[in-house]
Amino acid sequence: MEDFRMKLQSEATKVAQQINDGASLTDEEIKILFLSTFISEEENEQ
Amino acid sequence: MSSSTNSTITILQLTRFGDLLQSIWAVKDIKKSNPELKLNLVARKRFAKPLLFLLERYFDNIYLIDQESFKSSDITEGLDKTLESIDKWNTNVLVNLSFSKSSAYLATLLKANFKLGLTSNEHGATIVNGAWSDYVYSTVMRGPLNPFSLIDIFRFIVGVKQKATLPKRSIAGNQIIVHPFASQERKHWSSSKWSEILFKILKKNPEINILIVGSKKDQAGAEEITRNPLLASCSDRLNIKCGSLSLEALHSELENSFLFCGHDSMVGHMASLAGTQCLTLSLGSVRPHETSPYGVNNYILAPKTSCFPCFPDEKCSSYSCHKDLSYQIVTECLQQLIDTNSIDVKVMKKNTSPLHLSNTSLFQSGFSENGIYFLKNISSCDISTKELYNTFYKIVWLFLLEEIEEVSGYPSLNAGSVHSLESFIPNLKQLFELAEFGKKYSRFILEEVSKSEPDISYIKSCGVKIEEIDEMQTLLGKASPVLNPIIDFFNLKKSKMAGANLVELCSSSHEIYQGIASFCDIYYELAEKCLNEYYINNKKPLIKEAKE
Repeated sequence: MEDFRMKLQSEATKVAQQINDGASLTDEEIKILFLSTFISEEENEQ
Repeated sequence: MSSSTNSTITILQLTRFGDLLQSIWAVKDIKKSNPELKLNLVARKRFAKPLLFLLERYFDNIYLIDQESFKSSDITEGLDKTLESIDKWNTNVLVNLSFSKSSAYLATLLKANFKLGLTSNEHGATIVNGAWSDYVYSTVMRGPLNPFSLIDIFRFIVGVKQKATLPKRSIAGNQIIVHPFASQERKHWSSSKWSEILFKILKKNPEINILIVGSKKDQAGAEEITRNPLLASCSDRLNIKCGSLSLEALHSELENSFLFCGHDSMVGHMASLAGTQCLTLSLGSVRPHETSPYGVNNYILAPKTSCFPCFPDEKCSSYSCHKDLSYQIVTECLQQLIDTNSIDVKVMKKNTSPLHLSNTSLFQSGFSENGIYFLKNISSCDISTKELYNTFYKIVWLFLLEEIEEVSGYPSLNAGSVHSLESFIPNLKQLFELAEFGKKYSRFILEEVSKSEPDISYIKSCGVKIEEIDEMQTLLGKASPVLNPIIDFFNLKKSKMAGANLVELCSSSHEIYQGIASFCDIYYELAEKCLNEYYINNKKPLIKEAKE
């Protein structure tokens, strides 16, 4: 899980940079956004 | 396209227990008029799994989303499987009722012919789809001026037209269920007041048993309530089940009880689905009109504290609203409900101190002829200023968004609400005038663009005027926050303005200003009629043709 989260964190940082640069996001990048927000919400619920 | 594909609605509800239960209320009757419809649900596993016994009664397919299923060496492999499974439902309409970021991203990734609620655009920004979703995003999430139950809003979003059928009212047994807890400290009392209430009810009603319910984390609070020496003599009729009941067992307990009393929480929504009469104590950031248990003849007690309801992120150490709601009033309400299943305010006034009653509003729930849920303030003929504005807002929103004419008598005004309304009307007129200017400059641009040689500098100057109008609207909203639902709703529409060229953009802009002007016009007429009624009754001169 830690490995998954570290990878996700790294990918989410890249997507955040893409958003800051005003680039259009691909479906794969929206998937990263979903996963990072969903997992963060899950952790807040615990 | 096959007929089955045409009639598949998937509800996306990623928020908590209470939201899931309110979503059930919203869609539970949809199949009565659409028996061919396939109704699906995508929900968060931790909240939906314990509610499957209820959800399965209303949804054909349910997909539980769980973070565990996303863990794989390929970072999106688990999610891809999830998306693939849900997409197999061939959703025609995807309705996102969650209003959270994660749900907006998921709604974007799922396939559907039509999407309502939040999605996101190619830059990851939130997009709101549908008029009632606009309403939630701009009004419900921004301020306290929402006159609708969330269940009715969900019904409008989904497009449910038929009136909700209510479960058979449970009158069985001699048990009352009490849930003296809530998700946040500001929404529930301390234990001592509950000890007093339970003692008085058990002492006066030797046939009554009380069951305190809650989650595991509420166990200590429940023990604190029952440890009070007052309750020693009746402890055999007082039970605690915190964390030891499944939600299915809780639902069954509620069905076997004639009354539920508690703070605003999912237990109240479950009680209303089980047909149990509810007495809800609304405190802190709870907005009674929005989240009270759906159904008829449920009662809600709310303090008249000036800062109630607050916002969840506002700091508060005094909890004045907790003090303004007295345990004597709650005890009296409970006793009347035990005796007669209803509350008579005259009896209440006789049995309680005016001091306690003057700090509290008592609402009774019901449905209008159009099937819209309402709370009637039965503790006072004079409605508060906030209730007055909400009464008008309810009429205008229903007319503009649903073409429903909600029949209602003139609200009874007092000197305070008259003064507030008189001060508000000039601001409403100003917003109307700004909208008329907005229309005018949008039209000027359209006229100029249609000329063979349009004057670019003139078009630019009109554009600057429109920007100034928008800034003035924002300033007006700061000066008169009651206007913010109108300003915020149409600002959101403006942010989504469609148009491939200047002509289309200006046409959209003209339409939006027309919307503001129409809203103000209807609102003004309601306010004017209401004030004139007051002036006639109090022999004062009527409002002149103030719009000029």
